[in-house]
Amino acid sequence: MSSTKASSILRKTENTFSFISLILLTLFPLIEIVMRKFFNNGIPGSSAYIQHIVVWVTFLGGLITSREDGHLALTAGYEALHSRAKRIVSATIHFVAVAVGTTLSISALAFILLGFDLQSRIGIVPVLAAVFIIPIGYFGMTVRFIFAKSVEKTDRWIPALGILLGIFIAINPIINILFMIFPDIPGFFFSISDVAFTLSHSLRWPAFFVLILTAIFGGPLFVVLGGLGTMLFAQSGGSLEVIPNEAYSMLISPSIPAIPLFTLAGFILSESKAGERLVKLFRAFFGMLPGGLSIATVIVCAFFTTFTGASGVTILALGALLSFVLIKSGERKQFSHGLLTASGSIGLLFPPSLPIILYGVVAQYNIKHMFIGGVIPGIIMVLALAGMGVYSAVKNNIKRIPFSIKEAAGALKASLGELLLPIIIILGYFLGIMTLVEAGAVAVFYVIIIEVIINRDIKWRDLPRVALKSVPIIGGVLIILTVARGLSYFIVDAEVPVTMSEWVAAHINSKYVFLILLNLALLVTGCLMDIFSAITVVAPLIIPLGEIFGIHPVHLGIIFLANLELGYLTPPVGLNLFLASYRFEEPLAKVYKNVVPFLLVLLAAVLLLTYVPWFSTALLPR
Amino acid sequence: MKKKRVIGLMVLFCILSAGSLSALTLKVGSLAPSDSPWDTALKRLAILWKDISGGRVTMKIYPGGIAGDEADMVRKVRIGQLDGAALTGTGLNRITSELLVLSLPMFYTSYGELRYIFENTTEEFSGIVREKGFELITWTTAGWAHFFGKRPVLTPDDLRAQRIAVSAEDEEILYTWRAMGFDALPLHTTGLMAGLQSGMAEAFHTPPLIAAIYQWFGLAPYMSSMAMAPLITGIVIGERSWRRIPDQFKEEFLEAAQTITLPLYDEVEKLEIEAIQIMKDNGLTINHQTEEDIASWQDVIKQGHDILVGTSISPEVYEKVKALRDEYRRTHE
Repeated sequence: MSSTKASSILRKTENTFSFISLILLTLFPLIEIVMRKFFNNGIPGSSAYIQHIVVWVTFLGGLITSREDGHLALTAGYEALHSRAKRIVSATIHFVAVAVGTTLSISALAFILLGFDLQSRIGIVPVLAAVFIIPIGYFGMTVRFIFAKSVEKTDRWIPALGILLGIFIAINPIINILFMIFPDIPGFFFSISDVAFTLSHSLRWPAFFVLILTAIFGGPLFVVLGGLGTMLFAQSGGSLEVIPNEAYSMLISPSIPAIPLFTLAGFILSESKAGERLVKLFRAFFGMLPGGLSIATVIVCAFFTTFTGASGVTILALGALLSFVLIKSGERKQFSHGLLTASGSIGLLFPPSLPIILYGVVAQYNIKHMFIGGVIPGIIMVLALAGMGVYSAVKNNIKRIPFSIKEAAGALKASLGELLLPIIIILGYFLGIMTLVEAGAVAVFYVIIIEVIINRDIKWRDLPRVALKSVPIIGGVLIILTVARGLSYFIVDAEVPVTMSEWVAAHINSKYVFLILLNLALLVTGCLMDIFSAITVVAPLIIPLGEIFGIHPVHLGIIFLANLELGYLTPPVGLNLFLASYRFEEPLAKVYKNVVPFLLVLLAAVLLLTYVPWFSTALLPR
Repeated sequence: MKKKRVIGLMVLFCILSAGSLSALTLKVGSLAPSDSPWDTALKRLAILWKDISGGRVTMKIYPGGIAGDEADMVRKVRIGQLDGAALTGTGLNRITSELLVLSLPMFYTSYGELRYIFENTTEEFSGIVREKGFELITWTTAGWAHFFGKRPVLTPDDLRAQRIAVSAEDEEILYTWRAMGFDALPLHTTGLMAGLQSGMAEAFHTPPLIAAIYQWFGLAPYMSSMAMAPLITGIVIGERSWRRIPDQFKEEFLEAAQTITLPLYDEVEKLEIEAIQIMKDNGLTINHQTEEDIASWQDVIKQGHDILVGTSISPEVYEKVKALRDEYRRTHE
C-alpha cells in the first residue's frame, strides 16, 4: 500500500519536474529574444541555464522511459523464445542492465565530484545542483530495472545481484571518490586500481559477448552501448568517468537544445488536428501529381534538415505529422515510415547546413565552394527519394485528385496557422532575429498559440499531458546519443582513425580501391558517430589521403557527408532508425525492413556521387 | 594464514603497480590542428621528455580538438582520462579566472611585455593553478585579437553600432561587454558563421589567424589595426599524472617546455602576417587607427578592467602584473 503511494508520489514528482523543465527550456530562449530586441541585453548566463535544463530533461526523460519500460531495444531475439526461457532471459538481461546502471551511477557520481570545480556556479546555481541529476538519473533507472514488469517477482534477486557486480566494475571511480575525500590515501589503493585494470583487460572478450547477447535478447540499447563503452575504457586503463563526461559534453553542446524543443513542438502539432488540415491542403495542391504527396514530404524534410543540421530532429519533429498525412492519402504504412526515416537526414548538402560549414573549416577549404558543390548532389538525393514516391504511387495506383481552386483555397485558409509556422521560423532565423535554439522555442510558443488558443484543438488542461508524452522520447533518444558518444570517444582515444588512415596511406595505391574503402569506412562511421564528431575526428584524416589520391576537395567533402547521411540509415545502429522506431512506435526490426528499399536507392545515389566527380565540381567557378 | 594472503596480495599489487610506473604514457589534448606550429611544438616536447626520461615517459597527443573543446578537456584532465591539455585563455579561465589578467584588453602592447610578465609571475601563477589540481608546464601567446566587423571599427562608437559576438564559453567577457553598454551576443564558435550570415552578429574580436581559418573575415571584412588583447595558451598536466612522473625528471621537463615555446613567438608572428596577406587577397580591408582613435578607447577599457578586477581577477594579482608591465616599459623605453 505505502509502496504504491510512494511510487505515485515519485511519479508525480518526475512529471512535475519534467514539465517545469520543458517550460523553462521554452521560456529562456524566448525571454532572451525579447530582451535582446528591446533592451539590448539578456539574462546573464542564459545559454548555460538552457544547456543544463537539457541535461535535466534528458535524465528525467530517461527515468520516465524506464518507468514505462520504454527504452529502445531489439526485441526480435526475445520474442522468439518460449515462455520458460523468456523468464530466465529476462532476469539475466536485467541483471546486466542493473550492473551497467550501477557502474554508470557510481561513475557519474565520481564525474560530478571530480570533473568540476565545486566552487564554480552555472549562472547563480552551484554547479553540483545543476548536474547531480546525472547520477540520480542513472541510479533511478537502475532501480527500475530491478523492478521491471518483465521480471517475475520471485526472480528479482537476480537483477538485484547486479548491483554487486556494478560496484565491483566501478572500483576505480570509487577509489577516485575516496582519493578526493582523503587526498592522502595510501598508494595501496592505486594498486587495487591496477589490478582492476588487469582483470578487466583479461575479461574484455567475455564481457563483450555478454553485452552483445544482451542486445540480441532485448536489453535496452543504452545499457548495451554504455556497457560497451565502460568495458572498453576499463580494459584500456581509462577512466570510467569519461562515459558520463561525454554524456554531459554532448548534452551541453550548442545546438542540442533544439532537439527537445522541436520535438515538443512536433508533439503538440501531432496531437492537434493539424494533420487533418495538412492532409486536405497537400491533397488539394499535390494530389494531381502521381506521388505528389511523397514528393512534397521529401522536400519538406529536406528543407527542415537543411537548417536544423541533420541531427535527426526532422523525424522527431515532423515524423508523426507527415506519416499521418501520407497514410491518410492512401500510401501504405510501411512505405510512409520508410520514406520518412530515409528523409530524416536528407537536405544535409544544401546551404546553410552546419555540417558543410564545419567541414569547410576543418578542410581549410572555401565554404562557399563547398555549398556550391553540394547543390547537384543534394538534388540527386532528393530526387532519388521523391522518385521512390512516384514509383510507389504509380505501382499501387493511388488515386490522383484533380485540382480544384475552391478546395485549395478552403484548405489553405484552414491551415494558414500551421503554414505560417515554417515561414516565421525560417524568416526569424535567416533575418538574424533568432538562433536555431531560439527558433525551436518560438516554434513551441507559436504552436501553443495556434493549437490551444486559436484552433482550440488542445485544451489548456491537456497541455501538460501532451508535453509529457514527448519527454520519454526526448529522454530515450538523448540517452542513447550520450552513450554512443562515449563509445565514439573510445575510438578517438584508441586512435583507431589515425591507425586506419596510416594503413591506407601505406598499402593502397589505386584511387578506386581507396574510394571503395572510403565508402565502407564512412558508412560505419555514420553508424557509430554523430555528424559533428565525425567531422572533427575523421575528416582531418581523410583529407590528406584525398590529396594523395588526387580527389577534388569539394568532391571529397560531398562523398564524406553523403556517406555519413547513409550511415544514419544503416542497420543495426544507424541513428535515424532509433529515432524512427520511437516516433512511429514500431519495433526496430520493422523499421529495418521499412527502410531497406530506400537505403538501396540512396546507396546507388551515393555511389554515383562517389565515382562521378562531375556532379560535385560542375558548378564550381573555374 | 589470512595475514599471509594479505601480504601475498600486496606483493602482487606492488609488482603490478611497479610495472605500470616504469612506463608512463601521458595523453595530452590540444585544439591546435595537426602540424600547426603549436602542434609541432607539442610534438617536440614529447620527444624531449622521452629523451630526458630515457623512454619512460612518452606522450600521446590528441590534436585538432578531437579530445573535446576546452572545458571538456579540462574536465577530462580532472577525471584522469587525459593527463594534460594545451589550452587557450578560455580553458585556462575554467581552471582559475585569475589568468584572465593575462588577456586583459589593451593592457599590453608587445610580446616583450608579456614575456617579461610570464618570466616573473610563473611561480605565483603555478601556485594558483596547482591549488586547483593542475601543474602549469609552460605558457605563451598565440597572437593578438583584433576587431573584425561588417563595418569598420575605429572607435568605441563604431563598435557600439554593431552587435558583437562573444564566445558563449567566456561568460565573464560577455558580462563585461554588456555591463559597458555594448550589444553583445553569446555565440559558439560553430555558430558564428551562421550568425554573421544572418546578420545576427556583426562584429567580433579574434586573432587574424583564427579569422582566416574559420573564414569569418569573408562576412566581416573590416579589421582594425589595433591589437586588442593577447591570446594566451598554456600547457597543463593534471596533479595526479604529475605525481606519477618520477621526481628526478621534473625539473628538466619544465626546462624543456621553456625551450619549445621560445621559437613559437616568431613562428606565430610569421603565420599571422601570412594569414593577413591571404585575407587581404580575399577582400579584407585593414582600418588603421590614429593615435586619437586609440586614445578614445581608454575610458572604455578602464571601465572594463574595473568590472573584472575584484570579481574575476583579484586586486593583488592585477596590481602585481601591472607593476611588472610598468617596470618593463620604464626599462625598455
